[in-house]
Amino acid sequence: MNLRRFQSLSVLLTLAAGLLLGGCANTTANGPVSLYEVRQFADASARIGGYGELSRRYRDTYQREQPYLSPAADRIARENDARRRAVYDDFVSIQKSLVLYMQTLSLLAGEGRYDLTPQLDDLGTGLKANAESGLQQRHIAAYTGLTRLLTRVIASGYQNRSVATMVRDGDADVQALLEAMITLTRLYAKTNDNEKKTVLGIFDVEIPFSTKNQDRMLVTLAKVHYLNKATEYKLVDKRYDLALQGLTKVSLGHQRMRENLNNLTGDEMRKLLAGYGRDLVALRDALSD
Amino acid sequence: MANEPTTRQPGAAAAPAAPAAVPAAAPSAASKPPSPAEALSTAKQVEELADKLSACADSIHARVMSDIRRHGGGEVPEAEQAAARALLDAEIELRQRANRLYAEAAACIVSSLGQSQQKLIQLTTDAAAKIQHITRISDGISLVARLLGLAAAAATGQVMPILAAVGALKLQLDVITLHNPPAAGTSTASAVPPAESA
Repeated sequence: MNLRRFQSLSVLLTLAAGLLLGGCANTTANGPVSLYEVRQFADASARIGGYGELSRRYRDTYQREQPYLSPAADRIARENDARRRAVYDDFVSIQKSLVLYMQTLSLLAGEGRYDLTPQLDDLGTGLKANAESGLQQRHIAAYTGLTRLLTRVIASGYQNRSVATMVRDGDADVQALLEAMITLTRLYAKTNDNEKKTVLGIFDVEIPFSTKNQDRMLVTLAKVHYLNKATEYKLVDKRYDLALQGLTKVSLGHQRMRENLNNLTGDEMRKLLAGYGRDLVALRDALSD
Repeated sequence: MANEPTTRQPGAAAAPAAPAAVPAAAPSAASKPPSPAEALSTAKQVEELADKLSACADSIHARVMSDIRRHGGGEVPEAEQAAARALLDAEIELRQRANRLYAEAAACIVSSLGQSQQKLIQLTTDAAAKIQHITRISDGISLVARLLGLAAAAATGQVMPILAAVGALKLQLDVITLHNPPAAGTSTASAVPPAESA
């Protein structure tokens, strides 16, 4: 009699312990407080600024520089324009996949469980992976890998998923895609630099040549235009830098998480992620000025 | 735009047989994906070449500006104006070529230039330095023409045109060296000062 009661009691206790431990390990219902910084970081990463706007700017380069081109340069510029437009969608898709990943990570680190299927559908069937797609094979592979992971996680309703497993499974692809975005932003900046020098260069040469009296109005107009343009480019130059900083921080933060899967709730990690999160928000604010 | 009859010579006067047309369907390595290491180094190489061409454009601009400043705000003779405009056009065209290569770096279509990469980089660095210091403007125009030819060839990604263009560029650089015997301290082929724009 005593033994049986003892047995059923121990079974009950084991069950209770299992539920409790299972709840903690799952990090879904219990323990959102300890993953708060992860959520902060993921949220800030999802809303990173700069890349989208700079991608658009890159795509529209020809519109801005066209008036300043000679016929020969214009011919080449038109070809460049076609290439840029062809690959723009793919450049944007990369960001979309990363945003969705970060949104999913944020959900896993928190309590909410709202449906991200619409965003998943929006990603589409994949990148236009052909020779002109504008991406290297490994970036295409990373994109495919990440969307597959997201499909699994979101479609299953986040079951059997923790922040740790998500980070573990997604890190390689996330880093590859971030690297692509960083490289692209750098190429955007260099293209912009050539655009700036093309636009301003003409005036450097023609203003000194226009010394006759009847040129005075033209020269004045030119000087004013030059000043406006120079200011415009100065402001834009900063944005590339800010965007690069943001992307680097996202990469670093995710890398640290990958290295500390078993210790995401430790003090050091929390401080680190909180710092990254704050930096990302500050960068975003700077970019929205 | 302006009413003045600007004599804008399209690009370089003595344009070499530079293939202006771009192969629509690039016969690229679309079949076999390059290994991560290959792909990255290829894109980096293309970007590096584009950087050098942009630096050449900067040199051309600096050269034109220093020529203009020699007149200290006074009248610039017509002949010099024409030469300056020709160089400006070439500079702008060179920047477009560089932008094309930046787009290629993103696309990684251009196959690796391989061994000639280093030689190419060295030549363009050399050219950037020389542009600043050559004394005969006609040498400058020819040099720039060779650079444009090289840029056009590089965009095709095909070995033969690139080698031909590299050869022509090297020849022109040798000619310039003949016309500009090194005086004391001209061998400083250091970093070219970027074009000033307020």
